[in-house]
Amino acid sequence: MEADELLQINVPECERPYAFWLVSVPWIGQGAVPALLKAFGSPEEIYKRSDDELRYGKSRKNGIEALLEYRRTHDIFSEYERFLKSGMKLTFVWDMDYPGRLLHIPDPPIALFYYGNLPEKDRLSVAVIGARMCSGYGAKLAGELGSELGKNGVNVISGMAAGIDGISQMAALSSGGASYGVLGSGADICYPESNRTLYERLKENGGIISSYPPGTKAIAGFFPPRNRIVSGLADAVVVLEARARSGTLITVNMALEQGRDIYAAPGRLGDELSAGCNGLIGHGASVYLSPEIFMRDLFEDHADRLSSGKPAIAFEKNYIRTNFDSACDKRHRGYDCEKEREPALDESHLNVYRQLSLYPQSAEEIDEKLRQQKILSPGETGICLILMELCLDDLAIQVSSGQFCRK
Amino acid sequence: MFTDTLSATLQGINALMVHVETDISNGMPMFNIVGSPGSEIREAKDRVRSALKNNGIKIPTARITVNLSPGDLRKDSTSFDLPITIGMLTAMEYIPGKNTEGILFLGEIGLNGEIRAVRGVLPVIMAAAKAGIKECIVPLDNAPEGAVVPDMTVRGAQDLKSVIEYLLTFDDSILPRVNADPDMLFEENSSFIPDFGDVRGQERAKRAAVISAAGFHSLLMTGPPGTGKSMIARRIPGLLPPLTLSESLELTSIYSVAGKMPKGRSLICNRTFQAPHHTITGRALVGGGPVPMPGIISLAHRSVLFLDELPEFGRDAIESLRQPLEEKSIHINRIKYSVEYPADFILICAMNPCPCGYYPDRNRCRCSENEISRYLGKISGPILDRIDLCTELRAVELGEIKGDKKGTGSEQMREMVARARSMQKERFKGTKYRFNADLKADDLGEICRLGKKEDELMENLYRKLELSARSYHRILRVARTIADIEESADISCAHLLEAASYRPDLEYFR
Repeated sequence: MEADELLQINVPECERPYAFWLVSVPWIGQGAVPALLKAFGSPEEIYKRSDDELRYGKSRKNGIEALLEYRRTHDIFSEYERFLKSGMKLTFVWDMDYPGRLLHIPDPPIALFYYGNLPEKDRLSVAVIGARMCSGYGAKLAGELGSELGKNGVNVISGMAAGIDGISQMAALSSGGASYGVLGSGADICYPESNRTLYERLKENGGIISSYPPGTKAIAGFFPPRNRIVSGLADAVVVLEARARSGTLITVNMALEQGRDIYAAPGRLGDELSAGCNGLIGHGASVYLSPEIFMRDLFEDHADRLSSGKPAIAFEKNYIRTNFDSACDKRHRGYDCEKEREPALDESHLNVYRQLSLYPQSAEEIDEKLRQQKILSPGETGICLILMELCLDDLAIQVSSGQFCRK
Repeated sequence: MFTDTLSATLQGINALMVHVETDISNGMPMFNIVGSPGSEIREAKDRVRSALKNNGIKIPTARITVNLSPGDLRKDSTSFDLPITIGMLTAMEYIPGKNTEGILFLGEIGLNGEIRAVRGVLPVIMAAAKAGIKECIVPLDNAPEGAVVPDMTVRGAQDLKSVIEYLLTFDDSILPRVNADPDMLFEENSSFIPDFGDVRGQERAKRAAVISAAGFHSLLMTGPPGTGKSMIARRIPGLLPPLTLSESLELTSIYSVAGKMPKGRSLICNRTFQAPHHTITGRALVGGGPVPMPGIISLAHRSVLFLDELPEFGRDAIESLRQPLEEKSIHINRIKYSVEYPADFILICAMNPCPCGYYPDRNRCRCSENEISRYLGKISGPILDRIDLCTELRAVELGEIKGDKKGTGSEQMREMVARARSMQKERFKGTKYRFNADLKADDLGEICRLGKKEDELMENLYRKLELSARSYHRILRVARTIADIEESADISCAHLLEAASYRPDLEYFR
């Protein structure tokens, strides 16, 4: 059953408890509910059928059994009442407020449970995804992109996972934007627990979305289906760091099926955490160069949507003129502008500062680099002192007791 | 007849004089030992009886009572075998009573009359010297350690027969006097400690080792496997100044009490290096047991205690280090005894940064955040609080290993330590302190006075690095040591910055 067909179904308000029953068990297959609806017409009709009638057909057995079990053990009307009082919201694929973007993907979720809001139809949304165990490099990129998107009113969609996901979402919220977390558990379960603050803030500015009923515990099998919602809700997908074999790439595959634009941030060859991204670029993904360039491309690609009478964000065109011309052109002019961006430091500090990168390095490595460039090195202890001073000036970060990177 | 023979029992690393009183009188034949004897001493009567019989001496069929005075002090040691035997021989009038006067006896006896080594001979002889005793007869194996005590005639005995013969004839050739000159021993015994020159690269870690040795600061080294953490730790004892005679006697006493004296050695003349395996129990680490024994931390007294793979150590073991790190000694209280052993050591720890060892290099490390935080969480906060310096080692490149270029050697590093030590000696003259690491927060303001510029820097550091009060003080202490290494009376900004770079409370550990 395609989304269009699902949309045809007219489910009156009084049938909602029955519809709620249909989505109340997490492991019912995506195809099962549409198949039932096709066979029997409406949720109420399904509810009234006998066990054997429902068991008949190709539907996945476990899901149907769980549904029947739920019908036997629960009073669906009082369960639905209770749900309504819990503060969580629910939208069905046939509802008006169901996110339009999801209607055009294969296999749209029948229902979405959520806290907060759903992403607005007329705002651009970007999925920022990547490794949970990210490097300092990935974390930095995620923070930059998240806050740039947030500042410009673009929604950030992600999975609220540790690493890239959480960092980009947090950055978007901190810069005043909105972000939506799509969970692989029930929307009332904060997974991972370490992102509790983010979870609470997402409820306020954005939303927590899940296709699983409340109380569902996160298990590995639930994550790939939720990934299709992450990419489905977004207009473009940016991959900042991914290993050659990773869950992030599952999302990318789904995004491709859904026809979303893929951007990947290049990394050093040989860095395992960038292998997935570099592979994507090899396969033709757009290269993510900087937040500014990405924003320009995004707005250009979606210019039709912005100008087609739908309420667009007014500053988007201005953005291209002002921000892009000034900031990202500079990045492309190369070394000259790098110098321009350099802080006012004396010779020896500048020499050390120039060796710093987003990849953590030890004083010993910097010492070696300076020697190779035939620059007078103040020795390891001297470099350490300079690095500490740079830390105090907010130009460097001490990531562990021996390693420093550029801030 | 009643006689009194001198011996001694251990109390911590000191000894108390014990009078072994023997009485043989008519009555029902029996052999009783009284005066709070432990099981080792109660077994002595069987050993004594057999030893005498096998040396052709017949025990009279009479009532024999041996009393170990003071009677309320518990005694557990086989070293009372010899004094009890001698006491009986005098009571039997086999040896004239006046011949044993003023002589202290110590030793375990075999059934054939052989005299065997016992624990704690040095503290006993030192206590005897203090009590005015001039001559001691101890097992031959233990004689060298006792011989270092000045104004004391120490004779080493191998069997009961020669002791009896000596006491009857006072012939010097039967039990020759054992001599030892501490100064000579110091020169002979300076055994080999590997040199820092063998450690290629890792200059920053070596610098941390110097600071640690100079100010007695505890040090934590992190880094991937095989980067030289243990190698560096092993070389740290070589940076410390040589033991003084009194330090050496103290350390030898501990070794003697623990029964750990190397055979034939009379003094522990070098800083020791104790590296217990991580499966060690708390009791083995700090000492204790049914018969009180010093633990590993006391054997590391005035030296280095190295804990490799710190997170793998049991929580009990690590927590038990807290008191000794503060008080420089350990009090062990049990129902039967209460002793104090000195334990003033430099704590050197090493660990991998994560279970696989390669964090934060994400290309090699695949540990999850959870695994890493669980691993780090095994180190207790209070112990981390007592660590002053933290340094990270990185994998050394092949070129550096193969190259001929030697790193900084121990000689050069020792000089730095010596400079800092003499600065501290001068400063702490007449105070309770010995090293910068001991400085308490109240006295830091006085001793680590900062100039205006330095004060501003410290404020800046405090805010930017989100320091706690404790780590603020820690930076001051370490900065004081760095200044001492450079023989600078004032702490400069550079000293503070360097100290701050070694602070162990990075986010990484939270």
